[in-house]
Amino acid sequence: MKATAHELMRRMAVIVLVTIGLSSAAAAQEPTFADSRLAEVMAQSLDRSQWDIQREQEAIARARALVDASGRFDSKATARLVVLSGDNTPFLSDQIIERPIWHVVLGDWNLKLKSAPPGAEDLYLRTFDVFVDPQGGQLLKIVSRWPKGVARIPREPGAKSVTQQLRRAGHERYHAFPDEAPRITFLEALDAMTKGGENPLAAKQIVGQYVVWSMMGRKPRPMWVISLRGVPALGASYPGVAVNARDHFRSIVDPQTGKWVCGFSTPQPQTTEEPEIEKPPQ
Amino acid sequence: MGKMKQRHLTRVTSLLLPLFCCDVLLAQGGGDYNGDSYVDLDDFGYWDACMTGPGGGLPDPDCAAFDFDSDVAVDLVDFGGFMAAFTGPSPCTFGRKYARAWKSGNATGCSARIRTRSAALCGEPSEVSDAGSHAWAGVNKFVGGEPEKWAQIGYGRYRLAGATTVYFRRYAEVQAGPNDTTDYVIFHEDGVPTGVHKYKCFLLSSLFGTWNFEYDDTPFFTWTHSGWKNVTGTDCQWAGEIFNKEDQMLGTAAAKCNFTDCQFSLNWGAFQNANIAEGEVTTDDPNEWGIERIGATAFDIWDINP
Repeated sequence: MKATAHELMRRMAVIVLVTIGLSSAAAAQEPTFADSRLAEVMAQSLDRSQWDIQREQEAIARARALVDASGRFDSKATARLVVLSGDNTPFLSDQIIERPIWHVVLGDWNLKLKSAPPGAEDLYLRTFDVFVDPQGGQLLKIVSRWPKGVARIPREPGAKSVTQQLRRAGHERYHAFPDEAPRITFLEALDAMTKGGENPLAAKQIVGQYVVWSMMGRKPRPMWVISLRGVPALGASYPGVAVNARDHFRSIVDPQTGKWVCGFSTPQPQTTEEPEIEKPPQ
Repeated sequence: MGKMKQRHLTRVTSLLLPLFCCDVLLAQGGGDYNGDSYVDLDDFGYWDACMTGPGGGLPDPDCAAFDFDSDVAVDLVDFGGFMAAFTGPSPCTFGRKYARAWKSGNATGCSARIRTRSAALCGEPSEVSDAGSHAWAGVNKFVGGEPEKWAQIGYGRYRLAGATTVYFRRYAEVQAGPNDTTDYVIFHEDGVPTGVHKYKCFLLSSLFGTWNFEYDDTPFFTWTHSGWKNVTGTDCQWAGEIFNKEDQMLGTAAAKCNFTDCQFSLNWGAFQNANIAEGEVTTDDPNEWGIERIGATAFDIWDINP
């Protein structure tokens, strides 16, 4: 019965979204919000007793535990149910959009990383939007808001294009949102990225996800996937490579060991028509 | 170095800087207009174009680098901040240098066994500017004397601007160029075991532009881009490369970086021995970086003054 009701509401949401024309704003790393009333309507029609995260304070506690367990967000966190009409998560965006999810705002803080060099401070005052699945409590996405007054870099393309880029580069894939919680928090994963030469303190925007990930035949495993956007361009002088191809980087961090695993320049902003992936000879 | 659009971690070493700044100031100001981690005369070169006077606004968003008091203007108050933040230029002399061997032709693949060596980077461990020392095998497509496209696989030590962390990496990189952001990809992975390892890259066929990369004969990375569809390179290179003159080339006189089993492929064909001739090995400065041909498929490189 629950599944039927949920599916009905999901279909209604799709109709409403199409009607109000909000689905066109999907081509961005920041999720786009549907009409706020929609979340309320959908949430009221669903049986919250089946949710793992039923109340605002539970959502905040969950987000806090995933991002940073130090408790620094107690006074500034807020939570509400929302419906997203657009999101560019490769492979999994359909699991994020057009259904009620918790939106937790962790506002106005500077990153403090243990691994930062002496004297290094966060360049930006950050507000994070954290999206949590009410039903399983899984983390869906963490996105820091672009700093006010700071010039933007080109946006990432939409989910379809990002998915294609990831498939084309190392047969990368996001399989699912893991049920098991990461052993290390988002903040600890950021710390681990510095072992890969990355500098989260310099990033204008940070986007994090916790997904079951694989590439090049590696066994799918839960991983932190964290993009630093608006960082100093890789290779200060790089003849023939556009600066906007080098001002972002996406890292894979092992949530069990806290080890930086690898990093990619994908996805790149803008898209061009590309061929299908060539299969190696058998 | 051209104007860079990024600002990042500025060295907050000046004792005076805290008098002028706060967290917001660090986000907006800092003085590092060109994003090279130093506040120096290169940055000051952009001051005139940004200085608007009190209430004058910012003619360019990047001018926020000079807006120390976050009043959306660049004026004499900000000049005080700039002077306090002034660090002087980087001790690293940027400019890529090479010691390498090559084979000309319609290259579509390149491979070698390379012995892992460490190398100190400019200003390590406190320096925060770009630095790197790598060894790689790769294919280049030169147009008008400049590399328009390339694909390479290798290893090295690396430091990204704004951070002090230096790390070993294996990497694969392709430029399918020349202009769009989607023409470029780099993938890198942590850790390089010691010893000798095989690095190989090759275009799968002429049909799709799919580069395959292998590490010790195991798939490492792959990338497909139409920029390499039915396109060959103009040479295969096996190279040691440093970013700054002060970065150490991999290898020393006592422990050279060995390239062995150098092979390449032409026109999507089978790999063949390189048959490197004496005239096909070169170093950008024989007084700084040594190179010695060992045989038809092998050579050594090293830093003469590590």
